[in-house]
Amino acid sequence: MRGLSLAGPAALLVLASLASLHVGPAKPGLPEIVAALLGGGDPAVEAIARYRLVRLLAAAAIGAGLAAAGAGMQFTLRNPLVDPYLLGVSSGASLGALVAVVFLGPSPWLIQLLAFLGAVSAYLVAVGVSGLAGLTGASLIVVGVAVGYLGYSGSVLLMNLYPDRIPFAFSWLLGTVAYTTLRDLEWLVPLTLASLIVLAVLVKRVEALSLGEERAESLGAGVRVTRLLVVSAASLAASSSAAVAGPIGFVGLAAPWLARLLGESRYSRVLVASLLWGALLVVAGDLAARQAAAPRELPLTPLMSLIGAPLLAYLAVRGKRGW
Amino acid sequence: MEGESRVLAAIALLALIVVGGLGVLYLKISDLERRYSEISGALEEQAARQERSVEELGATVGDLAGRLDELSRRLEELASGQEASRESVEELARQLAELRAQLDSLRAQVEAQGEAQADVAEQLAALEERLSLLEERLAGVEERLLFPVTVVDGSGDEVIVFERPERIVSIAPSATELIYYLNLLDRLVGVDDYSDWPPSVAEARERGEIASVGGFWSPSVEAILDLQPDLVVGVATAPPHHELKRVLEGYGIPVILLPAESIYDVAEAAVILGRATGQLVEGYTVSFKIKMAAGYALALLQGVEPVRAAAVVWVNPLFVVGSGNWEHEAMELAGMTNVYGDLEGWPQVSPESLLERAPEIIVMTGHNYGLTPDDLKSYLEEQLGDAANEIPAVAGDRIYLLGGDYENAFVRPSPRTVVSVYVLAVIAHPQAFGLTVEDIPRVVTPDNLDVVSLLEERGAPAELLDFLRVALQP
Repeated sequence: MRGLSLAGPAALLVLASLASLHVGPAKPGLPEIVAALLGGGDPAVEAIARYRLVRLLAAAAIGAGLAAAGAGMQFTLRNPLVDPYLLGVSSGASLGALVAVVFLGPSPWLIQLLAFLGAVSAYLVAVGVSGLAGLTGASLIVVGVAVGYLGYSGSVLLMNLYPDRIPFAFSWLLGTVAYTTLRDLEWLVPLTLASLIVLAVLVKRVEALSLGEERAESLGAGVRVTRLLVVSAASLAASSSAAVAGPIGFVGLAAPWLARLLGESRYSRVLVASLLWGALLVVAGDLAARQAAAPRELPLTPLMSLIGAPLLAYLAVRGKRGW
Repeated sequence: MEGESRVLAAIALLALIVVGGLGVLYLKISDLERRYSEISGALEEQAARQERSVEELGATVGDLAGRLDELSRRLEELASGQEASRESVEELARQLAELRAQLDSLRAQVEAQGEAQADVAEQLAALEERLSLLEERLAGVEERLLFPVTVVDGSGDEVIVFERPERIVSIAPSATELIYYLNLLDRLVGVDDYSDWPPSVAEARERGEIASVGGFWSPSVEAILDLQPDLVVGVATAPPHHELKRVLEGYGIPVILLPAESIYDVAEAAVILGRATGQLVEGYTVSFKIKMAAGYALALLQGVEPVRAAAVVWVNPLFVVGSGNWEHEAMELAGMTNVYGDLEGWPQVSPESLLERAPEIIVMTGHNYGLTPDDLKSYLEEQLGDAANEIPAVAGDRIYLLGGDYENAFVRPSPRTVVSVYVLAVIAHPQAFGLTVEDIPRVVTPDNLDVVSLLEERGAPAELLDFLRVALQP
């Protein structure tokens, strides 16, 4: 199993990426798309080629970012159920983005900034409230889900109160990369990369954390500082993706679980495997979103839970692995 | 450090792939931008050429006159003895459109004379062909003067249309209807799944002659790109269409979002689309007719006391028509006072608010979704108990459901909307149309309430009746 834990998702990701360039409501297949991207093909196909590539890159970046955020949070908080969506961080980010759009205008950096602030606020509320009440484990998730509903309801409220100021499709509320542009990628990719690099640099400190807080302190890994940095990086990954594609559920929870169920346990390897699983899940989910009811577009979150929740339950039951 | 470096290596690899992909995209984009600068260069050149074009037009008309002189000489030879015709043809040399009419009448005469005039008929046909060529040339010159055109659409953005659009995609049923009114159906290549009027559009979509681009709320960008449209038309009141506009503009496709905040906006939309497509005359004509129809309703109901009314768009939960949209205005034009006029858009309201606001009439939509007036009644009784009967519209049994084309006319901001003004007027003020409250069916459709005939009896102008008949044709 361990040999496949990285090669497996990597190979599937390559296949899914090729499929997502190959398949869509329009006719052109992979050869025409690749030819158009390299400049040698039919110019009429070029727009479709560009569109599919933007969509693929957005899906991969969002998937990798959310998965890394989930893995980082799970190991830092030592809670296997944590993920940006379940903690309310993604919904907080979406609400922040909507507040920026409605009250401050469609400036990309303000949208990103308020999304990040929304994400961090949601985290602080969820963890703060449960910390005051001394809640851990699944109880933390209950608070997180409540915070998430708050953010989600706020977004729905804004969309209803200011429909004329919202330039997003309604499917944005349930996550979609169908309306992503190159300008969106200019923000999404650097911010996701930044958060991934921060998470990578902190790998050793987080691994020390899992040995127990005392050990970690003695190794020089300040627990509070590490937690703050990891959560900030995870919030950045979640907020940059939510600002572009809305809140997308399930990825941050499922990707690290898939990595672990295939035999990984060390944080560094789970993180790498999660990146691949996350990208794979969103790329494959987006394939279904565009094709299942083509030419209609479906939102991602319901589709992702449709494919992922049963898979997760099955693997969790069968694996019977503890934390 | 082993773990760290492995993760960093993986991220570097991912970054390399993503950056590579982005590189390819940016190469494509720079190519697009180069083409844009070429186009805008050509645009400036064209602007400088505008005046020369006017001169050219003059020269072309002079040229035309010369050719038509020749035509008339030939006609003189061919149809000798027809003095009146020759004179007419000489006059038509100055006006192309009239020549066409003259040629048609000549042909009719020749046909009436049968085989004897076969050679004349042949030569007439040749003349007609030449005339068509001249008309085309004139259209070409006009077109150069009309495009590029800048219009301000319903989102307040300036949209530049470089050339006469030949491949139009509509992503809203109301936009499709307006496209029909502007005689643009032959240029329509794609529609959303809800565009079902005129029926020929729905049939063409089912036959695959017009492509489907998905739903009104979530159209597929890829399906639209696949059609290579040179104009996409949506509505400004649909938030997803703003998002779609942002995306499609990145691919150099102009997107016009039609304004729909009032019936006058709908009239304005006809002018905007007419200017953007070169159908100026059609655009202004439709706009004028919409305003005429609205104005006549006002005149017809002058002195009639407005009735308090609510329009329910969904029952459970209760959504109603607020102000700031064409439906509110249709109600007001029909002699109704919208009891929810102080709220914006289509607000969700509580059943109790109906007690307080006391509408005498409730109009419902949702026939297409299987709703009935009884659904609303039983919902209100469920929610309010016996108090439901304190709502005047419930007590007086004046809850009406708009059905068929009457519903579509009300819920879509298109030229057909004016039909709903008169339907609502008959519902609200049956006595003004020589009817009683008992004459109004509970589910109002074109089959059981013929609004056009009622207006005809009231002596409405023929122009208005024709406009309404077009809107209700099957």
